[in-house]
Amino acid sequence: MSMSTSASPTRFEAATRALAADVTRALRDHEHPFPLERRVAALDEQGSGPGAVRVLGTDVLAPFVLSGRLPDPGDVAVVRAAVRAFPAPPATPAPDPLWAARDWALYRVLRRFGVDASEWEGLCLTAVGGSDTGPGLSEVAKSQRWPAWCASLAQLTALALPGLDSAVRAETLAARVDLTRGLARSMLRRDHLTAARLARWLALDTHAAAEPLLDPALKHLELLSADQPRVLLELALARRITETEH
Amino acid sequence: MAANTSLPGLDGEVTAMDRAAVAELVSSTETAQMPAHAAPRGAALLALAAAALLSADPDDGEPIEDAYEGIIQNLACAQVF
Repeated sequence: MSMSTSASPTRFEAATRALAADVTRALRDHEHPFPLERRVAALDEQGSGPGAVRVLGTDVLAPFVLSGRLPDPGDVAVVRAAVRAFPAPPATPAPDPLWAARDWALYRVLRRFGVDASEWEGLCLTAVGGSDTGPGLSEVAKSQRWPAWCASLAQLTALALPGLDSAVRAETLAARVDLTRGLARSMLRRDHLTAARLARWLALDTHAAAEPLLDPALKHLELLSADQPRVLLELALARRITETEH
Repeated sequence: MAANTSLPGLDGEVTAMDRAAVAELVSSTETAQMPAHAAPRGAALLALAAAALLSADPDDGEPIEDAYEGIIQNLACAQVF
């Protein structure tokens, strides 16, 4: 199989949507194992699958995280190939905070499965460190007002999984009201993906801070986003996370 | 720029443009502008009037509900939920 040499964002977008739909089905039908390797291979003939894996990040491993099943070696190999094919930006002069945080989450999720990714080519070097925020991200967050903070948070849902205790998660727990405001704002703006991502963050700590508006918001978004696989993935994750929180 | 990916089942070339396309998707953030049809009817005027009543110059020191963005949320939350 050879990857296309033409750069086509829509090609990767389409693959990402298809893989998101596969992961969503796996989350809803969690009685059956999720064959990640086969799903990625089946995406297309042009090699967009690894790109989609990189875009979705830890979400491709969410069915394993939430079901307690271990991924097969082939599944892990697919993730490794994606990281290698689509490496984090160079860490000089400073690592990209978004990629560092996403790879921090990926590294830790893999470690939960007994996979040591510290030597993986393409993984952000700071991923093996102790903090998800690295230099910069927390400072940026502190300086932002809640709309901008929520927009940044929506980019970091790779960290919004049970068992990932990050500085970002602590921030969301400390600022639930801002998070709820951000959710309402995104819904009003008809930005369903951002709204679903913020709902997922809200779902993560419902045991510590219940949010009565979360369930109606999820239902509302599900109604409006039936044709948006990436939104549906975030919503399915929010639902499953809520279930695990209770 | 091209690099080989030689792991099982994923041989091939990834171009710099492919990587840029994926990076763009990774860093995608909220939509830049709210579509016109998404604006709650009259909310802008109501928000303006309410903001003028509560504070002529919100400075983040007041409760968030008193700042103009908070008012927009309050006015429209009932409509959303």
